[in-house]
Amino acid sequence: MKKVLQAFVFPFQFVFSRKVADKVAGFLVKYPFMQYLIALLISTAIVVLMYYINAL
Amino acid sequence: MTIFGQPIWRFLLDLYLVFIIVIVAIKLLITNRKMLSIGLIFLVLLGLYYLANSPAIDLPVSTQIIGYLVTYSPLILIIIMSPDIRRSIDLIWKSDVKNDTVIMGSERTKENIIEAVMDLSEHRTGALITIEKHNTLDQYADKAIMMNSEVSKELLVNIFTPLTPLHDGAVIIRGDKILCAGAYFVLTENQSYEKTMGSRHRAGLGISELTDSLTILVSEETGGISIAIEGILLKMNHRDKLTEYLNMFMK
Repeated sequence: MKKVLQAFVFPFQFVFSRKVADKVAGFLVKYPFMQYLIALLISTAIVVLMYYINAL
Repeated sequence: MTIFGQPIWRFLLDLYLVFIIVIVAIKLLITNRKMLSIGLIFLVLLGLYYLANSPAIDLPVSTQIIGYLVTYSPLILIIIMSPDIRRSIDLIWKSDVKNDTVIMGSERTKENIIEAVMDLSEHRTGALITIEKHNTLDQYADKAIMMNSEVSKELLVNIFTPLTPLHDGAVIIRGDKILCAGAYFVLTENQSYEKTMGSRHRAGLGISELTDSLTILVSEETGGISIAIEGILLKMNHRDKLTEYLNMFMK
């Protein structure tokens, strides 16, 4: 509960922790396919949002 | 067929180019935890920017402030993090700069190295000997004293004799030759090792993180022998253990 509250109040401090970086890097190194999948998701999100904003 | 009023080919081409940029960024970021943390924060900022900018929420002040941060932070970060970025590029480079044919040393070379290391250890003379494998060490050899001489126990012991001009750097061995002496490597930044660890051991670890070489280290203080390989430091408390590791590495 404390961690959830901490993540809500200090989101950047939570994201910037070494623990999170280690977990994310460990996961991406272990499953290289996920790197491509995540890259595809991020790029799709960026492109769709940009098109959406431009279309407004 | 159109997406958001744009032809589909334009959308797909846009997606492909952004995908290429994102995958390059991911490959670069996972080699350095600090940079990855900053990358995650950037991602959160980007998410907040879109959230604040969305027509449903539309927060003008937040949009403007986060917009500035998102726009200028990559440039500021490139300047601040330039040493880390250089290191990450080195790590990516590592997988590309590989020799197709590996020339490993003969039995005689191996014996000479072991004899020299045992001698140096006995006399508590500090030494740093790096044996090249697939990844070329030319970039370090270029700045060192080129030797191209046969590996011999006497020569190795002589190089590391204190107060001689070459004793402070590393010897690089390629095949049966001592390629160079007095080479300097990038020190490891791994914080998990003892703070009292000397710069020789840090240099050995540094090169083992960047290349697939094996580095033999002899401590000046204790005469202890260690090997650094793949970013790990292993204590060699017996000659047989060192021989075993060299046999595995140089086959």
